[in-house]
This record gives sequence, structure tokens and C-alpha cells, in this order.
Amino acid sequence: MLRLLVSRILAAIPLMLMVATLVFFLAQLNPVDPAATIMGDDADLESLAEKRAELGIDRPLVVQYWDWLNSAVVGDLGTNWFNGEEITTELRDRIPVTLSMVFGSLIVALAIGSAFGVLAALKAGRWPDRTITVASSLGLAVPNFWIGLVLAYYVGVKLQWLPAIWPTTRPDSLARWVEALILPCVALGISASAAIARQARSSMIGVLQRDYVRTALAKGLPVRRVVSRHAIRNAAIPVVTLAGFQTSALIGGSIFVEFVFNVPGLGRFGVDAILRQNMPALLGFVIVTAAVVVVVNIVLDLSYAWLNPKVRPE
Amino acid sequence: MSEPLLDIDDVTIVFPGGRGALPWQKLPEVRAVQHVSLQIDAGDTLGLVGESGSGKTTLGRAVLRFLRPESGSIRLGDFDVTGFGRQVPTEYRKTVQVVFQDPVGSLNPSMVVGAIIAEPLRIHFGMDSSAARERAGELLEQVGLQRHHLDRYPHEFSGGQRQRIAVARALATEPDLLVLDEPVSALDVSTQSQVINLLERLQRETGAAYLLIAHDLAVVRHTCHRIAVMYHSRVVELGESDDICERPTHPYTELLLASIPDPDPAVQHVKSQRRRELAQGVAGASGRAPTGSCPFAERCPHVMDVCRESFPEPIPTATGGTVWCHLHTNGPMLGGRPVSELAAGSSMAEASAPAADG
Amino acid sequence: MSDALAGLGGSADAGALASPAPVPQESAAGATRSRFWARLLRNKVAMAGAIYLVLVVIAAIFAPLLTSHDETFATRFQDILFSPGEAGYVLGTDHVGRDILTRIFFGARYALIAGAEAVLVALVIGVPFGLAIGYFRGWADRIGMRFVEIVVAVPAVVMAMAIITGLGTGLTNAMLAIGLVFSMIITRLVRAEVFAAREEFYVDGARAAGASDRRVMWRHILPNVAPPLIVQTTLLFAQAVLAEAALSFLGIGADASQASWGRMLRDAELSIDRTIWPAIPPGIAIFLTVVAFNVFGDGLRDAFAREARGGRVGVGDVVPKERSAAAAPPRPPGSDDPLLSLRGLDIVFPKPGEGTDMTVVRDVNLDIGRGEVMALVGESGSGKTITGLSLMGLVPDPGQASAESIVLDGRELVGMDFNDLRWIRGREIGIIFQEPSAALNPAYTVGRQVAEPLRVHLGMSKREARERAIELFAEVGIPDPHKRIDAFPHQFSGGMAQRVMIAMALSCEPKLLIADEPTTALDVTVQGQMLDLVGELARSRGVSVLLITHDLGVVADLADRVAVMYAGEIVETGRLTDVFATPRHPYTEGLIAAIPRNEPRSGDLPTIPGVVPPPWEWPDRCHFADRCPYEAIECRRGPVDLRQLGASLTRCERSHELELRGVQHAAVVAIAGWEQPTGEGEPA
Repeated sequence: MLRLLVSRILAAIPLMLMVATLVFFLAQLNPVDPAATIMGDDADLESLAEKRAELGIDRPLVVQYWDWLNSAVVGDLGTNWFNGEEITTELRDRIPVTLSMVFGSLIVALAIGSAFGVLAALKAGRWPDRTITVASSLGLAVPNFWIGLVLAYYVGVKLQWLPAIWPTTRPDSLARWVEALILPCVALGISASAAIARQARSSMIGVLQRDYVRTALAKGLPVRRVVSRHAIRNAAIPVVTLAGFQTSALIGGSIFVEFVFNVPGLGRFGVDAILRQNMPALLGFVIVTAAVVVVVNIVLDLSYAWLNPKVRPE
Repeated sequence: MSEPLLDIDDVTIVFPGGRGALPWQKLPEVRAVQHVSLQIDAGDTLGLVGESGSGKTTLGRAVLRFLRPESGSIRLGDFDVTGFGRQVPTEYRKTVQVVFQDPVGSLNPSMVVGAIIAEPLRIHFGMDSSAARERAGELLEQVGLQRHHLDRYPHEFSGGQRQRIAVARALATEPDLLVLDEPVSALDVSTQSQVINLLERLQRETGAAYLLIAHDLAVVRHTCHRIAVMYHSRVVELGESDDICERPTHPYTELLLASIPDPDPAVQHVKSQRRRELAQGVAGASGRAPTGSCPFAERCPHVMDVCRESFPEPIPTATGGTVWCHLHTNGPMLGGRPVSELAAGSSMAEASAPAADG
Repeated sequence: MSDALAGLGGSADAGALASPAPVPQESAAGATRSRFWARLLRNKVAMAGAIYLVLVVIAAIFAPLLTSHDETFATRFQDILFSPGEAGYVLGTDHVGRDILTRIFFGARYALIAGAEAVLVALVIGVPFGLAIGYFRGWADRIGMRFVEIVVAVPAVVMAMAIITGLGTGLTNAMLAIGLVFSMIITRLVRAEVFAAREEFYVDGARAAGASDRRVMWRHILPNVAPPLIVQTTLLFAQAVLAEAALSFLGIGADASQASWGRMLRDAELSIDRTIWPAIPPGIAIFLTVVAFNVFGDGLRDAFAREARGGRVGVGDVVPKERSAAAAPPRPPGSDDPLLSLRGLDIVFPKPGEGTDMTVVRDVNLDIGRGEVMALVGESGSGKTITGLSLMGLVPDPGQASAESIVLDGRELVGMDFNDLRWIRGREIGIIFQEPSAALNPAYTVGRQVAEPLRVHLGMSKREARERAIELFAEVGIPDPHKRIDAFPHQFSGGMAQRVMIAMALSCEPKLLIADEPTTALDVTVQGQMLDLVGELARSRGVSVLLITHDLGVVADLADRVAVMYAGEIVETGRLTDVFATPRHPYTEGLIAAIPRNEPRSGDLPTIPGVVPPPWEWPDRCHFADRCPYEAIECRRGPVDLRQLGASLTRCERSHELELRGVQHAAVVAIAGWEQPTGEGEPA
């Protein structure tokens, strides 16, 4: 297991490096001069040049890249062009917010999705299955930012049950933190639950037709045990794969949900960076997101090895 | 004596090992076929017999030039098959054709039968669609189907019929050699013999040579002039069909023969007795084929020290075949039984000289 | 990953559990076009989605004609935030007084154009890229997949945002970015499908036929990749519509002058402190459009390859059947006190593609004596396997089994429900299957799996069960039982896995062992050992065996008595020596003649002409008549009953007048060195 972990971490390093490289050069395609964006339209040429030198963007691309990479490796992602803050610090404040939202929804989605998916598979073709199938295909189609708006309006503004937007001051207790998280998590988690339910249903149906399930029945095991011991564990393997994709999708989706609920997370940071051509901020945002996805995938790889002995290294 | 049609000379095929769990780890390579030499004369049938993992299918794929041997050469007529580059000459594709085991997977499910058979006609003879269709119809009739089957999809046919279609497609180019990879093993007994009879009739009609790859010695015996027995990457015995099946000289060949169950309970009683005497150790070839010893040594009831130290040189048998077994040079007494029991009617003493070019 | 996902394989092989009949295989692309459309049209949900999408297209094309208002300019600025219906605005107006309905119609344009752009970009890049790296593999694949990995390491939206930073904001650029990210998904899909297709023999066949790489790729691989690709494209279209809305909502997609649905939501947010209404219609428009694409995509997928039905723990028990009024059939010959006695077993399945039933097993009677090996012989589709499964109440869904009685050791099994039968399964009847590696659960050690019935049925403790499992391993000849007990199934060869299955089947000392093609999947030299093992264990424990096989040689090796099945019926049954020496049914004779034996031959191999017909073509008379060389007028009258002839029972009208040939002794040549040394040709 340790070897597997080490190998996955080692494989992730070049991947992260390539992501950084790709994004760095992609972002350079834009002909807009960042200095002009910062200084405004009426800045004169001289001060623009000065600003460019200050930002270091008058140097050749390769030099800029090398510089950025050198400091990024030691955890320094540069300075925000607009407010002069350390990007690493800014991200550090925002990461816990986004991650608690993403993992909160993921865990709930896994629980709800798997339970309904398995139920649908066991009742395949009958009404519980049909209901779950319809609900999940509707759930997949709900735009999270829209359902977020609707929830914020009705539950937050009209009913006043839960905060409609993120508190302006940092929540001081766990209870308030959780309270603030509920609506964003619901908005974010609906499609993930639906996707997981669909996958759980179809992989469970597939597994129930496997020979080893027949063997388990032929041994005289009770159906409950056949399902819980012999089927579910094998059916979980594709669900784990999907959970990996869903983590990535949830991080993407969190951008919009954060926008709706005014959550001070990574997503708002990223959107700001794009709208203002804020290069160091954008790079930091992408790198951190990629790192989260990579770490999640490593964890999933390990759980694979637990679920499926075949992929365990000898 | 004219040149053989197909000449496989000292061919070794190696598959690179996969990657290990760690990125820099490389698993060792797999030697699927080692130092195999075989010949087929025009119009002849050679049976290549072995269990799973013996390398028989891999060798067939090398003849089809789907993969390239690590060393050795394959020559077919005027073609130097091992000398081909990335692009295999179209002429060669015309000369060699193939029929696979799986009657479901071997026909493109999205094409009608007519299009499947017409494809080689259009590629190799440049026929227009009506001419190709006409010829495809003839071919279908030749394999015992009807013209109106041209517009059906493969899934509308039974397994045996699909094999007939695969044979028709293969014969379309009028090949000199047909590689038959387990052509009947997926079929029911009653259908098997229909396809075998068809293949034999077509050989008489077209004069094509066959390389028949199979695991069932009884099936092979009925179809082939000569048989090569493979075990775990090596050919261990080669000879005339009747000799191999009645006077085997390699312990593995004998084990194979004893393992084919016979429907006569009395005969089967004798056979299973013999099988129990012969079968030793862990059954089935497993792991990687050894390079410097006899791969059968671990299972052989007659194993000697020398068997674990080197792979034997080819030795001619009394019946005109060849065997690769140390018993024939290092016999003659084993466990109190004379070697002659393994090779009845032969004279071992003469067989000590390696016969390189037979 | 492909390994981990193996369980997902969508192949709709409904009959896989017992293959009751040669159900015509409908592979994805093999389904003829008409059947594809018929299935799609029958799918009401998918059709509803399609109709909705047609309406969206109409709205998009004729948007200017459908309304008198302007998409971007308010008709009158005092009409701000009108409610639906007010002043003739069907859906009201937004915060600057623009007609919402008008903007919904125009929004359809942006949604479709944006979706089309993204999907087109994805296909144009993804398909050739995926085809190329999938087909050429090697370094092209390694580099290509590394690139894909990099792009998908970042969430799709984030990557799109990074690309938008480079390209600049705006709807066209945003969708180009989304398309680029989607192209990676298409690449991966196409590559995986090409990899799978490359393994297919028909691709090798085409290469052998001389088709060039390009031809193989476009003619042979792409058409078979097309179904999943079409499905994925439909689903990606839905994703693109969502992405357009999302990016426009953030303000990096459509600009203020474009009435996109996402832009409308963004505008609605500005007035959300006053009313939510302007956010509702565009939200529903997005939602419905995405649902429509999704259900249509799902419908396409189902039409290309229907998901296997059922999925519930899909087995059923045998229900009681009225005793037939006709005279009792002759008793199958055998002992007077059989361990198992089966009477009047019928099994029906719904005919594929239609609602009607077809009978796959008809009126089977079987007696198995104590300590006896009974062979049930037949070709594929004869119904032998499912007959065996029915004894344990394991007839796969949607099959229906009924019988007059199944008496096991004095106990009636018919009428017991699934849970009562649980104490029979594994305890009284053990079973081993054809594919030992597939029959073992890959997730658990073999030791746990062998111990499981011991714990459930015999109430052993974990420790005791493990000890007993180790003993069992030793008994079935698994070397190193202490170590091997903790290994996983994939670490066993086929022969060893079958030994594990045997240990499991015999663990609770059952009275009957069902061996379903126990040697078919194994190498020939391993087969013999397995037969010896089964025979030996059965003899030493006094277990009766029902041996299900197609191989007459296996029967000759192991069986005491034999029942021959053809097309759902037992056509002959009797003692092994009787049936093989003097067969009473022409099918038995044909089968014996057709089996290839190690003997010299002359002329063509004997065959049985034609093929086993599928169950829906079984006639109401002798099932074998169409292939029978002795077929006469009386064979066409009606159903044939089993009748006694000699010591056997046969289902043949003409059996009394036929001289059928059994196994020919003389033809078999003894191999030199067997039985006695030949004595000829001593070493010189």
C-alpha cells in the first residue's frame, strides 16, 4: 500500500508541472496588456512601461515562467497584481471554505446516491426504480447556480430558515459554519447525487448478473448477505471512479455556487482573476484546484486497491 | 524437392513486460515463442497443437505479420515476411488469409455479409461493386450458404454459419495459405465436423495450404497431414499426424493424447489410467517460459537433471518426425522403463546426432 | 482502470446466466437500422425529449416571428418587473422592462448555437485524435494520453476559464474553450472504444484481408465506435448548454447585448431583492433543455444496446404444476430409492423482443441414485444447464420453472419458497460452474469464500471454519493450503480455482453435487485431473453427482448413467454402457458419431446436418425430425413420449425398428506403450 502511495505521489509531480506549464502559456495568448488593465485607459505610455517592469512582464516569457516556477515550487505563488497581497496567503484563507463545501456535498451525495442507486437496482423495473431513475435524470439537469438562486430566495429570504448568503464575518462556531454551508451544499450536491445514483444502479445491476453472485446464492446465503457482502463491494468500484470525476465537477461547480451565495472561496477568486486578467492569481487558482483533484485521485486509487485486490501491487 | 511454401526458421517472439506499480519498475519480458522452425508445403496442412499459453496463436499472428518476431525469419513463397516494414505489401495480404476462433467477434457487426466478403475482392482485384457482389455470392454458395444471405448482418447467423462466412471471406483473395486459429473450438460437436468437412473440401478445390492452430489433438489429427506439438513457447515434437497420434515420442504429446477423453467407456478406462501415471506435479503451464531448460521438465514423469539444464537439440524419430527431448539422447532406462515404450518401433541409438536441416 | 471497470460492460447478454437458448446476439452496431428506430420510437420518454428539442429548434429559428418585442431593448422602460400576464407580457418583464418570453425565444438561439459550437469543436478535435492514438498506440498514445491527463487534472470549468483568459471573454470564445475541454472527453472515449475494437477479431480479419490502416480505421472501427460516440455527443450537448448558461451567468460568456438564458439569470440576480420571478423562466428553460438532451441520449443508448433486464437478485424457485392427466410416463430406469427424483419440469422464458413465452425445457424427468454419477448431455441450447439450476431454485430471471415434484432424499422441494430453499442450497446440494475464475468473488480471499457456507450452514466459528477450509483445500489437492487460503481468486490458475470451487461445494457435505461443465474452460491436461478429483471425492463421500456436459468423453470417464437432452427435452436415458453401446435415439447416434476421436479416418467426418433450432422454432412434434436421417411420416404426427426400449428410455417414434450404431470399439487404435509394451522394434 505504501509503495502504491509513493508511486502515485511521484507520478503526480510531473503532472502538476505540466498543468502549470500549460496554463501559464495558455494565459499568455491574450494580447491584452495587464498593465493597461491595472492602470486604466488613461495611463500614459511611460507609467505603463514602469508598471510592466514592476510586474516583471516586460521580460521574456521563458524567464517569467522559470521565475514563477522556482518560487512556486517552494510554495510562493507570487503577488496579486491588484491588491499586492501574497497569493499563497489569499488562497490559504479560501481553500478551507471551498473544500468544506465540496467534500460536504460529496459525502452527502455518495451516501444518498449509493443508497438510492442500490435500491433502484434491487427493485429494477418496478416503481422505486422508475421513480429514482426519473428523479436522477432531473437532478442531473438542474443548473446548480439557478437552484442556488431559488433556494437562497425562498429558504433564505422568504422563509429565513437559513442564511441566504455567506456571513460577512468569518463564522465563529461550527454550528454557524455548518448552517452557512447547508444551502450551498444542497445546490452543489444535487447533480452529484443524481450521477452517483445512476452509476450505482447500473453497476449494481451488472454485478448482480455476475457468476460469483450466483455462486453465493448457490451456497445458500441469505439474499441480504449476498447483496451486502458479495455484490455491493464489487459494485462500488465504478462508483469510486465516478466519485473522482465528481470531485472535479464539484470543484468546478463550486465557482458558481460561491458566486450565488457570495462565499469567499476559491471560485470567486478565480473568476475575479479571469475578469481582470490577473495572471499570478489565475495560475495560483488553477494550480491549487489541480492539486486538490490530484490528491483526491490518489486517495481514490488507494481505495481501489482496497476494493479490488487485482490492482494491488504484489 | 521443391521449396516449402511457408518456412519459419528459428523464430523467437518476445512481448515486452508491462509496467510495475512504481513508475520506473518494468516487469520482465514474456518469451511467447522460442526458436521455432516449421515448414508447410503448398497444399499441405500443418496442425499446431498446444494448450493455452503455448505460443501457438502468437506464432500464427507472426505468420500473418500482425507482430514481428524478435529473431529468426519467416518466408512465404517469395515474401520475406520478417523483412517487411510498417506497411505490409498488399500482395502478401492476398497470399495469406485467416479464420479466427470466435464466430461472434470475427465479423464486423455493422457490415452486411456481402460487404464483408466483397471487401477483399475490391481491395485485391479492384472489382466494382456489382462484380464483387456476384463473386461474393459464388463464394457463399461455395461454403454452403445462399446468395440471399448477402444482405444479412452477421448476428442473424448461427455460429457454424458465421464460420462459413469467415471462410468465404478468407477464400475471396484466392490465398496460398490459410491460417485457421481454433476454427471449430467454439462450435458444438455436430457443427464442428460440418466445418471441418467444408475446410477439407475447399482445400481439395483451391489447393491452399492450411496452418491449423488448435488445442484438440483429435480434431487436428483428422484434418492435418503433419502436426507440431507446442508446449510453453517451444515446439517439442513434429511429425506425420498418424505417427504423432499413435506413436508419440515426447512425454507431453503422450500426456495430451491420454488426456483426450474417449466416448468408449472401456477405452477411456485405459486412457485415464495412463493419464494418471503421466500427469505429475502442478498441472498447466504457468509463469514465464524458461529460456535454458525444457519447459515441460517440471511436469515430466521422466525428468532428469539435464532437462533442467538445457533445452534439447532436435532429434529425428524413427517415423521420420522430430522430437525435442533429452530422453532420446540420455535414455534409455528411466524408472525401470525402457525409452522404447515412449517411442515404439524406433531405434534411439541412431538418433543422437542433432539433425539441423532434417 | 479498465480492469476496475470490467464490471460495467454493457453487453446485453440476458441469457448469460444460464444461456437457455441461442438467443440471437444483438451487438451494439449489429442491430439492423429498422430495429434501432423501432426501439427508439417505442421509448416514450426519449421521444418526449426529442419533441421538446424540436420545439426549441423552432423557437430558435423563428424567434423574431414569434414575438413583437425586441430581445435587447425594452418596449417601454416604465414596464420594469411586470408580473406574468401584466400588460400583455406573457411572462412579465425584467429589471429594465424587457419582455421575458421574447428573451427566452432568443435564448434558445444562443443555447443551440453555443452548444453546437462546443460539440463541433470537441468532435473535430477529439475524434481524429482519439482514433489516431487508439489505433497507432505506442508513443503516440503515451504522449496523447499524457496531454489528456493534464487537461482533465483540472476541473473542466476551471480549464475552460484558463483558456478563456487566453482567448478573451465572449460567448464564442467561451464555447470554444468548453469545446476544447470536451474534446479531451471525446478523445478518451474514442480511444477506449478503439482499443476495445482493436481487440476484436473482425479488425484483425480486415487487416488480414489487406485493408489499409485508414480503411480499417474509418470503415471498420469508426462505425462500431459511433453508437457510444453519438450518445456521448448528445450528453455533451446538454453539458454545453449548461456550461453556456453558467459562464454567461458569471459574465464571461454572453455579453449584455445577448439574450442568453445564463445572461438572463445574471440580470435576474440584480433585482432579486425585489422578486425572483425573472430567474424562473430562464432557469426552467435551461433545465428542460438539458433534461431533453439527457433523456434523448439515454434513449439512444438503450436503442443501440438495451441494458440487460432485471438486475434484482434475479433467480426464482420452482412452482408446483398440476400432475398431467395422461398416463404416468415410464419411470426413468435406475434404483428404486433414488436420492433425487424430478418429475415434469417445464421452464419458460419470454421470447426475446416479444411478449410471448417460449418453452426452453419441457417435461423433464430425472432420477439420480445414491452415490451415482448421472450425466446430462447435450449441445448448447439443449436446456441442460438450466435444468441443473432449477434443482436449486436458481432459474435466472425472467425464467419461470414449474414441476410436478422434485424429491430430494424424501423431501419435496417444489413449493418451497426461495428462502426455504436456502437450507438446501450449499447444505444438501453443492454446485460447481464452468468458469471457475468468474464464479469466485474477486474481492475476497478464497479462504473466506470457502468458510462462508460452513459458518452459515454449520454455525462454525470463524476459527473452526478456517481450519476446516484448510483441510478441504488439502483434500482437493491445493498445494500449500495454509498459504493459499489467504490468496485472492485472480492469483489462481483455472484448474486451481476449480479446485477451490469443489472445496466450497463439498464443504457442508452435500448429498448431491451438480457439476456444470466442470472441465470445459480448462486446458485438456488439467481436465483429466479435475475429473479424477470429482470422481474420487464423490466415491469416497458417497455423494451423488449430476454431471452436466457436452463432452461424451467426459461422460464416458465419469458417469454411471446418462440422459441425453436435445432442444429442451430428454431424448434418451439409460445406463452409460447401454446408451453408448446401443443408442436408441438417432440424435444420440449422431452425437456419438460426430465426436472427434483419436483414430485413423477415411472420408468425410460424420455430421448431423443443420443446426439446433432456437426454442421459438421448436415444433409440436419430434424436435429432431428436421435433422434426422431416419425421419418418416409418423415422426410428424405430434409430440413424442418417452418409451421403454431395452434398458433405456427413448423419445423416438421409430426406435423399435431402427438399428442404431453406438461407440465403435474396433476403430480405436491403442497407443503404443499403453496397456502392454508392444515388444516391436527394441532399441538397436
